[in-house]
Amino acid sequence: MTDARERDWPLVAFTVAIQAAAGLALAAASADALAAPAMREAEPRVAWLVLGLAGAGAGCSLFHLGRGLRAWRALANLRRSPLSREVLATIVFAGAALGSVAASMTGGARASSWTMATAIAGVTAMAAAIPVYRVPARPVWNAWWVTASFVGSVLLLGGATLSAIVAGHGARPVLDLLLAAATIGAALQILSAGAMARRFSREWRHASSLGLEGSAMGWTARRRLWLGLQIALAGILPVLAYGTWWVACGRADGACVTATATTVAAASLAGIVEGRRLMFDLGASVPRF
Amino acid sequence: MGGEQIAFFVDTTRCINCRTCEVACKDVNRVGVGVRPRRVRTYEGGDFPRVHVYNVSMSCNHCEDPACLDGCPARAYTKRESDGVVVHDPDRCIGCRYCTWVCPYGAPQFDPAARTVRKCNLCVDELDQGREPACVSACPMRIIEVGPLREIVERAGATMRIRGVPDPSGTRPASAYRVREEASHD
Repeated sequence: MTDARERDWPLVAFTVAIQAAAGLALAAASADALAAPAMREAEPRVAWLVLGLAGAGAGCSLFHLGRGLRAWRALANLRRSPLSREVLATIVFAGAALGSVAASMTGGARASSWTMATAIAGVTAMAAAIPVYRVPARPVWNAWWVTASFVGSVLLLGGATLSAIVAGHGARPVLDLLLAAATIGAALQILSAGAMARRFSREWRHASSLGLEGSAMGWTARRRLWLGLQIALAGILPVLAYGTWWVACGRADGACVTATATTVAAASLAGIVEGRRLMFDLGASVPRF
Repeated sequence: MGGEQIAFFVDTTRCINCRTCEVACKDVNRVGVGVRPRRVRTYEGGDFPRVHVYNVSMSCNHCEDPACLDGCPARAYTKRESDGVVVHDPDRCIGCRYCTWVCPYGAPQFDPAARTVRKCNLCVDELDQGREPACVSACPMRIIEVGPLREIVERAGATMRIRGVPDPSGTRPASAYRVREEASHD
């Protein structure tokens, strides 16, 4: 079990980084569509951040492979393998992010087009990852909560991160949009975490009833901690923080918004990482044959 | 497929859980620590005093619709035309372990020493020489056999619907087992 956890950290990093990059690209494209002046100023920084996250995520995924130098072979089965398609979608996303960086240096309509293309590629990469995990042989993962968790991560990390970048510079409509998306993402994190926990409990009870070896490990203290951190940091905290901001701050700029957005973005990232660690741990721990 | 699908038949009603089949497979195929291409699972059930236990020895079921073959991004799996054996090519394998996720039976297993996946290949080298797979010849109770699937499924009590074992309708495993009544899902 310990060995499985150690092997899965590259996938935790990969999925979280790609979803953060996709969310940030989507948020940037949305803000760009609203023609927010703050977005114009932030465009180069955001483009570099998207590229950095996408590149880092893709790089981390290589550490998951037993033979990383042969990673290029992963594109050999595009017709049948969802994993091949996910790899292709990730490469396309990283390429679009690179184009967005180049275009952001010149600015103008071309930059906006690349921002939109990167957002579409990012969402496609996130969507391509879902069927990789929703396999019948992993009953804990083969449920709607995986989709909700991935979509929620994109919305929460994208909205929270971009709001931290543009806070203090942007117009109210942009921040409203970003924080609304982040709040929806946080709500999805709460729902998906609860559904994941219920699903695991059900599968574990079934394995225990059969007396299968390995079914003795159910809800350990470590797993409860990860679940609690995910719900608290990536769910309850953002919902409370953004709700408080709308009521108490209500301004389009200022230290209040910047502090709130930055704190929540960091906490959300930590919570999503904990939840993703738990996802991989639970998925591998229900004994099959 | 040009030839005839061959299959394992395992009479679990006489399995004594000695695990000689596991050891023989590891020995002949030089498999590392922690990897068990053939595994014997023990299932328990019932309520005192009507309790029961049964053992199921399973390796790769060489499915007619193998999830590993479809899922592998590097196309490291092939299903032999001559006999339907699903063979893994370690030279093409990139060690992504996706096959270990998609196989309902846990047949592919990652070997950290080799940095690739290992899986039962029905001892095709032995089969091609007209000899038996290692597990078949090693079993002291002679409960493991290999033969044409169409003959295997006609055996009395042959089933793949075993309590605790995944539903066979997904990948259509080319194996059959004789099980006790309490182990049957029929």
